[in-house]
Amino acid sequence: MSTQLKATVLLFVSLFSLIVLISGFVYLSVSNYAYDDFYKLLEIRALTYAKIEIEKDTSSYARQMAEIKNEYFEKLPLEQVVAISAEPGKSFAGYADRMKLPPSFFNEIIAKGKAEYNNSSLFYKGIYYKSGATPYIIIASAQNYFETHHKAYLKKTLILAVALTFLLAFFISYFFSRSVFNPITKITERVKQISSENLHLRLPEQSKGDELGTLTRTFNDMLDRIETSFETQNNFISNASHELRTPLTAIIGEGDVALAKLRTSEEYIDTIKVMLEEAEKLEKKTKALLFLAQTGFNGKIQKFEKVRIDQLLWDVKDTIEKINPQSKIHIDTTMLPENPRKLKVRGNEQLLHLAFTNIIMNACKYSNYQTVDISIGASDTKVFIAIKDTGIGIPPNEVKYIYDPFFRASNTNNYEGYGIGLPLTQNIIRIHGGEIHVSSIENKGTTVQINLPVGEFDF
Amino acid sequence: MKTKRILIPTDFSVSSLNVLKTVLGSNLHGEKYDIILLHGIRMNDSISDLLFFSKNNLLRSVSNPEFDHALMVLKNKYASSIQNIRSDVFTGYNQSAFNSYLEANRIDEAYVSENYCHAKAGKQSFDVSPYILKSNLKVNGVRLATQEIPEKGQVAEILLNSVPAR
Repeated sequence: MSTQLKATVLLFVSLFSLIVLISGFVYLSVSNYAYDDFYKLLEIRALTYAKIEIEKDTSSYARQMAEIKNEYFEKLPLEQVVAISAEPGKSFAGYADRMKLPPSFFNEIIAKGKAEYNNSSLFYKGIYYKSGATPYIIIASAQNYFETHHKAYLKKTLILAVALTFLLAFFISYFFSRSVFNPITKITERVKQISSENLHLRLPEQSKGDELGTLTRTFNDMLDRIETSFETQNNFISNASHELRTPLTAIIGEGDVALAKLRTSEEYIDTIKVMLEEAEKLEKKTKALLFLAQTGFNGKIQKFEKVRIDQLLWDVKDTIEKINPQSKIHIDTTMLPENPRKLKVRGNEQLLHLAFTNIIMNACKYSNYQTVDISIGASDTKVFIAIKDTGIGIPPNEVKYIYDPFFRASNTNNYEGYGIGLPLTQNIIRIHGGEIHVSSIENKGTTVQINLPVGEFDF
Repeated sequence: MKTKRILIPTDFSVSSLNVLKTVLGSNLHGEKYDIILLHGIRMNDSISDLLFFSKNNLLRSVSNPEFDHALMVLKNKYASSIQNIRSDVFTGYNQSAFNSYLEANRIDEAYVSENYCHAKAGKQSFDVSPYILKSNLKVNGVRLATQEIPEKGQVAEILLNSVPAR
């Protein structure tokens, strides 16, 4: 059952049952009121009759009553008032039989003082009346005009109203649910059309503030991201194969040339040297790629242990100075927190070492081996590491691409590199739950800020 | 040793914390400080705003996480010379209100940067430095380095900025 149908049925049922309930209530309360009213009317008739007829000689009050009755009392259809003397012990069975009333009616009058009875449209009200010492039973009866005419009309009107509401409720719920679900159906149809071939398609955004507008926008944002990642992946493959092919082409070319004719042994040695160099380059690149792939996966569980950031940075400094003796790295300890516990993070030392080596080596390389400043500080929840160089910087419009694999800024042509280091570093920092911010002014320098969550170790 | 209660105007930017860093960095005698970072906000005088006034909410609305982290870095660095550090808002309209604020909080000294231009942290923010300069308080001027740096506004700014000579 579709949600639209469900909503239609639900709305319809609730609307319809509401109307039926209200109609029933109106019908019952109106007829109840009319009955009560009519019985009261009959009681007054009975009382007036008693005053006028039974006590006609004794009071002038009775005469006045008779005048009022004649002048103002409306004659009810089939109106009839009967007075029966009711001495104690008298049997009313004969009266009951004649008037077609049940004997219990009379008993009730004797016991309670009054009783009501109705037989289809004929209504009876009996009262017990005592004039002097003689008791009477006075029974007023008349046809209830409401019962014969109004009630049927009310019933007819209400049934008609319910029938009309049935139709109306059906149409209202149908069109309501259709208008609610129509945009969703449209979105579904549109999304169905989008596949990997036409990822550039977007959903039309009509309404701004409502939930459907938000849904559309969310879909479009998601499509943006999917499209970008598709493109990145395509680029990655083409870039990677290009990067790997360059040294391979060189190796093949060298081999071809060397085999074209017989060479001297020096020439062979030279050729093999070139081939070896290129093969080493190839190995470096594949290694870096492998690392990038490994750190990119979240499924792989790295071993995380306690790492002290300042120690790690001193290690990194040693490593870099060993690899490249002209690097000048200055670790600024002025902002170290007084409590060394705040410098411990939970992490994989090899990975963090690799990440910081990458960042700091980049800083050295792109600043032509001028001094690189590193500063460490800690807030209560994070360790901050700032790495500042005074190098060539990054052009402002290229900053957003620096984490793309194989991307190299336009001003880096004089420097060697593959464009794998920064994405790799970002992956590593992400694995550790940290953040990396790169801010740069072209030709003035770059500052990299890395923050890692504090490990909360006891010692 | 008696703790010194000092007042430093702030605009909740990391750059404004350089004044604090300078003060703490030049503290060679091991003095203890009780620091109030003061920010001026013009209060709306509608009755409902006054009814629901909460200083914490007000501070939260003008502060930002970078500032909080940078402040915490400083706090951790100079833990032994900081007795207490807190941010406060001044909502008065004139000099006498400010003077009574100083008196009520028993401020001993103030540090004001001579060349830092306060930014507006919120719509109703204002710089309290003019009030500080006009008051009877002992005011120390601090000069900050003003060169263009890439890390402006990040925690890195406070990390990398070496303490300038006063």
